[in-house]
Amino acid sequence: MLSINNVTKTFGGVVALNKCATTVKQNEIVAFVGPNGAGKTTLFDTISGLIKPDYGNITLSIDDNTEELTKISPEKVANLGISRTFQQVRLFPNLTIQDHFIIAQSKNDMRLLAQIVAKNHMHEKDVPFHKKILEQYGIDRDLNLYVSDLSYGQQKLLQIAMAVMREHKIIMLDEPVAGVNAVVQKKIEDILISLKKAGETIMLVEHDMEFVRNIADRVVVMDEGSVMVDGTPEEALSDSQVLEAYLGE
Amino acid sequence: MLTGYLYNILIFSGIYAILTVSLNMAVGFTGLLNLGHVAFFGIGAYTSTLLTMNGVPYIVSLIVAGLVSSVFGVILMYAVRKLKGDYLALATLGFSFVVYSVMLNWSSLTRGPLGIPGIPKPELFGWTINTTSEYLVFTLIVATVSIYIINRITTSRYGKLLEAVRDDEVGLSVYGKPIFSLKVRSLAISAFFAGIAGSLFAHHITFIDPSSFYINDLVLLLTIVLVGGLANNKGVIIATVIIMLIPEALRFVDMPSSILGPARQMIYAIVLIGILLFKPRGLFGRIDLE
Repeated sequence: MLSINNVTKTFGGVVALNKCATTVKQNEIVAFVGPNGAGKTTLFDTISGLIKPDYGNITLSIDDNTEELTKISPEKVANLGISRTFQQVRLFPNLTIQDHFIIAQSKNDMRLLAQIVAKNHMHEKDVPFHKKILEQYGIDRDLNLYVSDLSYGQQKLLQIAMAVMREHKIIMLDEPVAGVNAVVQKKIEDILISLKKAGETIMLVEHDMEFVRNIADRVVVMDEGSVMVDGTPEEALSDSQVLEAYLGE
Repeated sequence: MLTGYLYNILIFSGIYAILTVSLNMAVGFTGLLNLGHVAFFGIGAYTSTLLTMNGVPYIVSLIVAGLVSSVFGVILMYAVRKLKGDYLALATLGFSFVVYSVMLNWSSLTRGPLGIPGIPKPELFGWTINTTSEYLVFTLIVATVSIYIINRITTSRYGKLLEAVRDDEVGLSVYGKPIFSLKVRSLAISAFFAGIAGSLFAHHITFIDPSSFYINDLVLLLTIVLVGGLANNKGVIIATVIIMLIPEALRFVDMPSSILGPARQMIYAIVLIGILLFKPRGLFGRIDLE
């Protein structure tokens, strides 16, 4: 489905990605692990189109169509079905929770004239649906609350909800449980397990090995911008190179 | 006499309300610190003046004034597409100076510093708007329609996208929204209404010269938007009326006219500094000035 082909990216003299290559199949949950600076987030940013690689390419194949993601803008990548979250939440602090849901969900919000003449352009009919999502994600807050008033954990949950609710083929989650308390971490784990059951294709950057072992079908261990080991969680997390480089054992 | 004076203040308040609410769309809602707004105002004024003086019906001139300003807005946005924040502000300020210089030096078209006198009063479908009271009604109609449209945009789902551009462009791009297109459209719409305001201004005072569209006016516009509050249309309209009225008090103070002009600018500067120091979100705003 997603093919990462020898992607190289340097920032000045720093090699962030070095001939990085792997694939992601449909309905698969792939965890990307590795020490800080291994290139995991750079890889996610490259897949999203936020960073252009120096060499190599990334392709997305759906049915008989293949698109080269590294040649198109982040907006087009997103519209091909790549949905993602960021390690540090990137929400819009002066907008409400409902505004965020509308942004994630809506496809027709660029039709300016239609919105000027529309009777009810804020889609109040979506309110029950949005309230249901809040309930599902354990965000016990009012839809009209500004997101800057949410706790960090609630912001993380909202970001995941937005990534899931928009039409997508692949969801990329960059350290979804980093910096959240145990209750929110458990909630996020439950959400991911339900997404796994629903047959979603998920790419995940995570440091919590127990979490990775429980959720991932496959683990890609990265170091210095390259793929060091690629296999099942058992294979990858018991590899001697991995234990030495990543876990320090 | 006093009625005419009051009507004039209200006419200018209406014109400046269009200008400031449209500036707020770019600066407050979209986060584009556009210091070229006064240039769009000038482009609209000159376009409308030149067209009507060459026999084009006023209603056509009014709309074309908006459209020409809007086209310059699109050109400006393409030119500064790689810039953000302070750099964008500097580049758009440069645009203001360029437009001012063109108005000043393209004498065959604009009569340069001599300005263009005798601009005809608007004529709409056989009705010539001659009196101040008629012009007030006309201005209020145009201002109401303009502000209504801008308000519809900024409170719609489209407006939420503009606010999202202001808050986090990268964050928005991963939801598949075209950031550059949103910025271009925002500046084009903002410039369109500045052009409309320029037309109203020119045909009211019936004389324009480049000095009407210089940086002094830009300071006034920014002061109003910051006092009213970024991304708050109601606040900006209230601030427009307040700030248009404050300097009028000087008329009743016995001072030479050579001091009166600079005194107005001083008042704007004091208000601006006071707001930045003590109420950085403005009187009614909720967005921090960054």
